[in-house]
Amino acid sequence: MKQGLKGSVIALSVLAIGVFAVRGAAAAVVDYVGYAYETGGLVPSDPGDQLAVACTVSQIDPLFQVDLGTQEATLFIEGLVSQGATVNQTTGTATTLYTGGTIAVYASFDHNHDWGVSPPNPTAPSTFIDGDLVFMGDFTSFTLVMQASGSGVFQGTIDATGGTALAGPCSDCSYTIAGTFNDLTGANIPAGYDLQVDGILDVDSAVDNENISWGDLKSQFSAGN
Amino acid sequence: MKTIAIVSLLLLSVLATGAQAVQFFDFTGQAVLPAAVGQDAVAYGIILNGDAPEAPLPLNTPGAQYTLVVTGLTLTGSGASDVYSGGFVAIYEDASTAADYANPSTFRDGAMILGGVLTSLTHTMLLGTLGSANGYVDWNSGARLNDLAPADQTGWPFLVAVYRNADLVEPGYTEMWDGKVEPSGDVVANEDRSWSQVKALFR
Repeated sequence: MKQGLKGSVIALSVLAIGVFAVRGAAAAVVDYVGYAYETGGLVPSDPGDQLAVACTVSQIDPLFQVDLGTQEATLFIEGLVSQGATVNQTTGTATTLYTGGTIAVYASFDHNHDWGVSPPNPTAPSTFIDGDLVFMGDFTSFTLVMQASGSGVFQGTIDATGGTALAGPCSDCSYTIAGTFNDLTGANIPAGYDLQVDGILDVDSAVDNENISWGDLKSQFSAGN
Repeated sequence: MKTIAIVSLLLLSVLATGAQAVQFFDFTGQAVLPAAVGQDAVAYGIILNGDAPEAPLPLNTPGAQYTLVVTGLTLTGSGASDVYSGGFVAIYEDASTAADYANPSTFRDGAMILGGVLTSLTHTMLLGTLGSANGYVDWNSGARLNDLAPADQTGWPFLVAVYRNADLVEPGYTEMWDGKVEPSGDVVANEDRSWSQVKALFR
């Protein structure tokens, strides 16, 4: 019995390694680039300021079923409420936590995205929220770290709430968003935006969970299986 | 005098319009970082510009694949931020071989359309497995260098999001890079005109 259990443990370990090996560098991602703006300006980020990000998608995993050869995909983040920046006096790095906020990905046959200037404006966000809703979610966390140089990173976690992608294999996926940014220094940023943004929406689990009993699980490692 | 005034207004109008456009090479890639100061980093990436975002140079996509390679990027200082210098950035156009991270030579085949010096790069990890790297590129070679006016060839910001998540890093690499390199202002295409055609524009 003990020997049998040991065999099962070994088999499970091998299986787990196999799964991880396949999953390595095979994450499903949405790659986007765009620009961000915050009410009241991002430097400093004051409590109550709201951050928005308008992006065009340059790469999207097939599970979202968007063909970038014929369609334009856009991503829009809004309603992230700043809790105020905390500045490290030694390094000058400012860390800002945000609450609330939503993210949405759209696909459209109209290639019309236009950041314009001084957002919100007649084309932003309107040309980033048109078309079919592919994915929508609520932020459960969002953190932005800005170095004294004006560059930095952001990272957040998302609960999916809607969109056509949830009808497919991603109904039970978890999502994180991350990326980097630079401020106005030397960058080609449309007037009125605070940051240029380059990041990914990472689908952490592109495979559905499958609920089975311990008995069913053990039976998969019994003789003959 | 009246003509000069009109020309000036036209120029201001063009510049104002141009400042609103957005152009850059958007890429995703994998990098191998050195273990010690004095050693070199290398990175291989695939340029993702399709219809959007607009590239600084017209690209023949999907007919060709465009790759970005960084070599000779020497780690000169290590600490909270790592500082690199002396790297060479090249963009290749290739219509025959798909880029494969398991075979880095597939990123360097085809024609080099742009090559340049990465004059500096600062690399900082800021949130666990997430970091940022940025620097500047001066283009100085490549088959399409002369498609850029001399004033447009230098000082291109190079910005990279750095990911060390296990599910994003290819075997044999240290981290994933997701970034862009862009002109500091719009690159406007050349338009060949005779002197008489230019003069006719001001009549």
